[in-house]
Formats: sequence, C-alpha cells, structure tokens
Amino acid sequence: MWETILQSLAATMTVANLVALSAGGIMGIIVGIIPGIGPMVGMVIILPFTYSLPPNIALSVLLGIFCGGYFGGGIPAILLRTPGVPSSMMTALDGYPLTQQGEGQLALSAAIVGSFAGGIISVILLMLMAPALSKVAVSFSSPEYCMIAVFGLVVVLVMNRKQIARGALLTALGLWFSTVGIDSGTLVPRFDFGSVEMQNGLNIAPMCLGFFGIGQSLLLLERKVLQTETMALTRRALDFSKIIAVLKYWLTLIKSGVIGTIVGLIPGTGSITASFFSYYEAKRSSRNPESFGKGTPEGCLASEAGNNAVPGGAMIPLLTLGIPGDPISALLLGIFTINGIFPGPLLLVNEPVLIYTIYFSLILINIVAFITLALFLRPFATIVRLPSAIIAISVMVISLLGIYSMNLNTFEMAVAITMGVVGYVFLRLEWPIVPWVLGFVLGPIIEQRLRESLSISRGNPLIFVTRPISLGMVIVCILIVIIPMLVDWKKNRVANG
Amino acid sequence: MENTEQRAPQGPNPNSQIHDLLSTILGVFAGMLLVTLNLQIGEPAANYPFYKGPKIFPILVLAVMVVSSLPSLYRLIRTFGRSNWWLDGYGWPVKPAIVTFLLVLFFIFGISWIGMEAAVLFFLILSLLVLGYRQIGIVFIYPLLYTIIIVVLFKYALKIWFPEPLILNLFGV
Repeated sequence: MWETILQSLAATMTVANLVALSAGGIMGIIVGIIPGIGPMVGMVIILPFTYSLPPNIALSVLLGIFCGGYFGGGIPAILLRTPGVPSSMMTALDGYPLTQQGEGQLALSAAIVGSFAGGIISVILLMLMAPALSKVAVSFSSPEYCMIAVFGLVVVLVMNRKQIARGALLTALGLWFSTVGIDSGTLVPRFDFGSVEMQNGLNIAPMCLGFFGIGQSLLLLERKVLQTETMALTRRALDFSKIIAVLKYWLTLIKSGVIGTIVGLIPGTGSITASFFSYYEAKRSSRNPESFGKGTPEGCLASEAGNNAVPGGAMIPLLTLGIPGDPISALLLGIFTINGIFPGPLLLVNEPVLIYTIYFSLILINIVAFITLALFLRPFATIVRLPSAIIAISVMVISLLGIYSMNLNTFEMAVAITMGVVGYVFLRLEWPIVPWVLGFVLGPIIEQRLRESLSISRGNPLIFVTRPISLGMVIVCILIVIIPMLVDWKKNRVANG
Repeated sequence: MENTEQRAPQGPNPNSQIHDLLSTILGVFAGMLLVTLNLQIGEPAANYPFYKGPKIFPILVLAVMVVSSLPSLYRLIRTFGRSNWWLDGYGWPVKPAIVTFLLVLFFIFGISWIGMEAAVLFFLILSLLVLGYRQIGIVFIYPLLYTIIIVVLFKYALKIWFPEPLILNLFGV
C-alpha cells in the first residue's frame, strides 16, 4: 500500500506530469473564463494531441482543463453577470450584486476558495468511495453492467423530462451512431452506406469535437454573449484578507463539496444541478437566507464548491464501473481505452499506481488553479474581452487540424464539420444534447453487455429481472421515471386548482 | 417567416412545428433504415442466433427512434395547414452557413490543393471579412500570426505530416 502511494507520488511529481497538469489547469481557466467555450470544448480541442501521450500525462492535461474550467467560469459570472460555464449562473446571482456594491474582491475570493475546497473535498470522497464501490462491483456481471449503463441513460432522460420524447429520440440517435462500422462480434459491416471509411466506425474525437467545438463556435459567430462591457477589477491579485473572511463559511463549503460530489457520481446530472442544489441548501441552512440573491459571498462559495466537486464525483463511476456519467468523463474513458486500460472494478487492483497518480494529480490541479487565479486574477479576467467571433474561428481551425493530425485523413475532418452543423442545429433549437453524447458513448457498452447477457440466458430477456442487483436497477429505473412524472402531475393539478 | 421573426421576442418557441418537423424527419430516417435493414447490415459468415447477431441492437435503437418521433408526427398532422414555423428570432444562419462552406472549401479540399498554411491563412482572412471585420490588424495581421503559430505547433513541434500542395505539381515545382 505505502509502496504504491510512494510510487504514485513519484509519478505525480515528475516534471512532465507537473507541466501537463499546470498547462491543463491554466488552459482550463482560460476556456472557462471565455463565455460559450467552457471545459468541454477545451478538452475536445486538446484530445487529439493527448493520444500519443502516456495515460497519466494525458489524463493530467484533460483533468486540468476539466477542473480549471470550473475555476475560471465563476470570474465572468461575478464581474460581468455572464457565466463562463453554465453552472456558474448560480454564482452570478450573488457575485454580480457584490461587484456592483464594490465587493468584487470578496465575491471572487468566495468563488475561488469555494472552487478549491469543492475540488479537494471531492478528491477525498473519491479516494474513500472508489475502493468501496469497486468491492461491490466485483460481483457484477453483464446484466448488471448493461442495466447500470441503461440507468445512466434513463437519468439523463428524466433530467430532460420536459422534452422527454426528443431526449429519447436523441439518445437513440446517439446509440445508432455507435453501431456504424464493422461489428466487433461478427465482423459484419453495419450502416457504412458503401463507404470504406465508414467501416472503421465513427471515432469519438471528431464526433465530440464537431458537436461541441465546431457546433458551439458556429453559434458564437451570431450571438453576442457578453451582457455588459464594464468590468470592475482594481487589483491584479486576490486580496488575501478577503480569503480569510470567507473561511467563516466553512460548514457551507464542506456541505456544498459533498453535495457536488454526490451529484457528480450520478450519471447525467452534471455541474448545473450540483451548483443549483448546493446554492439552495446553503440558502436553506443559512442564518441570513434573505441575503441570497442580493449579494452574499456564501452564495458564490456554495455554488462554486458544488460545481467544482463534480469532476471528482464523476470519476467514481468511471473508475469503478467503467461507465462515464457525462460527456467529459466519456472523453477520459477514451484515453483509458486507447492505452489498453479498461476502467472497472479490477482497475484499482490492476493499476493502483495510475489511480493514485490521478488522485494526487487532481489535488495538485486544484492547488495550481487556486494559486494561478489568486496571483494573476486581472490578466486572466481580461481574456473575457476577446471578441467571441475571433475566438470561434480560431477554435475551428485548431479543432480541425487536431482531428487531421490523429489519422492524417480528411474523412474525419468531414465528420467533424458535419457533426458541427448537427450540433449547431441542436444547440440553436435548444434540444438536449447530453442524451445524444451519452447514447453514443454508452452504446457499445450496452450492446456488448446486452449480447453477453442474452448469450448467458440463451436468448431469454428475463435474465435482467431474475438477478437481484439487475432487478434492483430495473426497479430504480422505473421509479425514477414514474416519481418525477407523478410529482409534475400533482404540481399541475394544484396549479390548475 | 422573416417578418414574424423580427416581431417576435428572441428565444425558442416550444409550439413551433420546426421542432416537430425535425423530429419527424429523424423518425422517418430511422424507419427507412429499419425497413432496409437487410441491405444495411450483411449476414455474418457464421450462423449466429439472433440474440448474438449484429442486428438485435440496431433494431431496438431504431425502433426507439421511430416510437419517440411519433408524438411529433401526430402534432405535425394535427396542425397541418395552420402550422407555426417560427424558429427563435435570431434570423437565418447566414454567417454560420458561409463559415461552414469556407471550412469545407479550405479544410476538406483546400489542404490537399493549396497546402495547410495557405488554407488556414485564407480561411481566417475570408471568415473575418465575412464576420464584418475591416481593420487591417484583425483581418491580415492576426491571421498571419495565428497561421505562424499553427505551423510551428503542428509541423515543427508535433511533427505532423501535411500533404504537399497539388497546385505545385500543376506548375511542375
């Protein structure tokens, strides 16, 4: 055990890893600060370059962007009332009023301390919960894995229940995309439409890069995202007396970090839900709930601690079950599988050094992001003033060349542009896009586990309800569909008298 | 549609049939794939039982697509003739369409014909002009600097091979 920890510490403290996590963290802050870009776009831009790196270095870069993005997202929310990442909209509720009152430093201190504490709490919980969940998951077989993946899709659908038919359609569309190419079980080509390139299947990098990178950039070309041009920030660095001042909300910090981690580990919920729940729990338990929404550092702190705890939480199902709970975790899963590492219950046994290296890297990323923002707040904050259209076309160029550099063929660039147009249409129509991505990522897992389960039972689908854990998952899936529907129906009845 | 969009407030309209139309198109597409499944998926060499074969999962997925598009199809038929096609008040996507065309032109075809450097430079200059920028610093100097950074990053730092421009062959270079 101690030997593993020492080896992991040594791997974490190598120059290459420290450079990777620092670069990732700083890049994450930059993409987080720019409204409309965010950590997902940042990660997909960098993804093609990470394929040739060792897995721990690649993961450090991507996790740096993941965590740094949430650190950065709170800054424009506080200074300009424009969230850099959607989950920082709760931060804007109190942050911007504080800025208007001349307390921008206090709001930023609360947000950055909140992000730091949320990140650290989630890593501690990850270290405690991952081994326990792995022990349970050892007894899982194909039907259980299949149902867990289905559970992830059902949760995403329920989260988008106002557009449930559309969500189901997009989920199924994502699942269908995952079937394109040669079937690994029977070596039969599927849906290749006569194209040799299509027989290789659709790679996650051009699909996600097109959908998020190019799609989001096309949207940025026609939308002015900044709501105000005035940015009040007098000091270059954070005021440390304000950091001390916000530490009196330590209990809110811990609660928000725990809420964010738990929300993060539930597939499909995401950082917006985490910051929403953290904010309202802080408001409910506050001594001054009336100050929320008018400008209290406690609100900024709760929201940011909640959303920055999500990356750590999302790693729990990814590492222990091999099931990504959100699109960002799906990209991390890609890094694992490309390097021949398959996340699941045995990962902690087979790759303990890598796992502990990830834990330590996550802690260091949070420290680097905190120090970077504390010391260089104003230079980073001015990034928000870059014209969004110029950022958008620059993102498109680097995205497409990154895709080209993976396989040196133009087919994947064409896939990325096509998916960019599809992503733009979905984003513009405000269709839920997370179901599509999770469908695409979970498709191969569900198909493989479904066929294995049916092979075990010789084609009898009742295998999913004759095994206790699988049956439990089926019941949970049904309940999480029915209960919100009943609650909505009751609310509508009360509203209609 | 243009006038309606100018009058209406910006934002999505859940009652617009644009959403239903797109859902229905996706559902019809899935239905066509289901009907032609035997043409889309060949028979495996070995005789697999259906539950192990390559068709079971696509059938399930395409069936879900068809079923989940049925409510949209129903609404589309019910409101036929008095449909509201209002999109979101942001007008037609002219700039994104032109930039997408430039992306295809310079990156799918341009890279092999004129080379990566020229493709990136011309794409950036033309896109910035299309987006309404006219300052020399933004339209010419920024693309030039960005292209230099891209060339250094991809060609020299990452050592990515890019094809020799075909246009040079035409001139016998």
